[in-house]
Amino acid sequence: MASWRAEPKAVSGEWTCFRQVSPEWPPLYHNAGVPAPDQESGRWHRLGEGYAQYLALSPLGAWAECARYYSLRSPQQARAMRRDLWLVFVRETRIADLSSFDGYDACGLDPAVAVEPHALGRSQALADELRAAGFRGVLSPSAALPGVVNLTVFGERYEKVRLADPAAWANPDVDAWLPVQPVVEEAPVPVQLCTETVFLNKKHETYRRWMKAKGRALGPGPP
Amino acid sequence: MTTALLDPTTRESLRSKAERVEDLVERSVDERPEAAERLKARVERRRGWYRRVEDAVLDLVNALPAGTEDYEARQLFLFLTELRRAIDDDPRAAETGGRVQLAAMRMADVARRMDRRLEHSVLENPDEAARYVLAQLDSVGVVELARLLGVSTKTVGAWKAGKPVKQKVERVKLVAQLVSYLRYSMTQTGLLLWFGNPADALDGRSPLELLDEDVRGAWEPLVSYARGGRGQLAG
Repeated sequence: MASWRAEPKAVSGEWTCFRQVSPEWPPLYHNAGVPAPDQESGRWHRLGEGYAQYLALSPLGAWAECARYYSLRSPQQARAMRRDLWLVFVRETRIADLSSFDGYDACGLDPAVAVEPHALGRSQALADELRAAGFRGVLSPSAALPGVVNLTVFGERYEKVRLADPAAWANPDVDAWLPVQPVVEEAPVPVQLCTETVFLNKKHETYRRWMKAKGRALGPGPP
Repeated sequence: MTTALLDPTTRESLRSKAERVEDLVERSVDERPEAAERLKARVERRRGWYRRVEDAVLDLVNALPAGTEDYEARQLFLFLTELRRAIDDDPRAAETGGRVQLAAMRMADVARRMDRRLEHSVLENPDEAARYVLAQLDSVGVVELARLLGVSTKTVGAWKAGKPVKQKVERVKLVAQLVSYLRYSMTQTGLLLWFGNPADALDGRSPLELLDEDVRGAWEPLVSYARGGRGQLAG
């Protein structure tokens, strides 16, 4: 039985997203023929149990994930990074709309799941339930950069690089492909994210404001 | 793929063959087909491309020590078969379903993995690993290198002069592996900072701290942390 009281709203639509990767790798995560899926664990999947394409709905959202992952707290560190930023155009159906804390709350889900460390496992367990219910991805507030929404598409996808309008490409198989476009190559991380990013030991102010507005008690530590 | 015992020439030859496969399959789609190209010419061009892919796969697999018994070789044949079937099902070479390109990209995944494994296998040799680290961090000072590798500046000098690695063998191998995972994602300065930076992913400890404490115990968390940087992981 799913942990939600009401099933999340399923939305269909088009989203222009961003994703940063190491320059030596393709923009999306795929690795055909491995004995077990080898994508390291993330917010919406566990290592060995499949793949997920992690995307942000804004470029800074994508960069903030990099800053958070590598704990980039100094401008020197941020400037020393070299990452490719890609635009990913998503046209999808049955995306779980948990894009706001209200959305979580309306389903009877704890909004902290969106922003707490994914190592706690609750978001991964929720992802299992979403996949079992036939959802193809999830919209959720960014834990790394308050105010940003992220889109995660479940499963493996291959990139179709389009220099022209990616939205114009007729995708022959939405289970296999996503059109992408290079934005910038081997770029440093914007330095303002050294202070704006919500690191694991930092409080997520948007979440905390939402909790306060609802009159709910906050725990002693982050989120 | 057992590659640790391969001699350098064989290894480089295999890498070159794997890169050839990768290169060929990545050219699977002609983005701008000439409008005037006739069906027969288009089909013939694709047939020629497929033959080159097939030849490159056979060339690579024949050179592998385990030949067709190799796991990755079997994966290559699996996707090569998928590719041939996709071509057979598309006699007009229209590629409207994207199956030809998908099979080709899956082959590219396997070829890339083979290439990387061959590259990494070199680093199982401590002398090669030290050479690799020193080459990748050639603008870093000897004091920082000594700190990173856990040896004296004199030892770093000896390694630079080509002397064999007889101390801190496991640490040198692990540092080389980590550098190989990270080197495209950051500058040399960034690499040094990565090792010294307390990371939330490591419960606030730096990779250097873990290396200093217990190299064997540091292997799994550090490789996982470095590998996780391949691409965005939270959404």
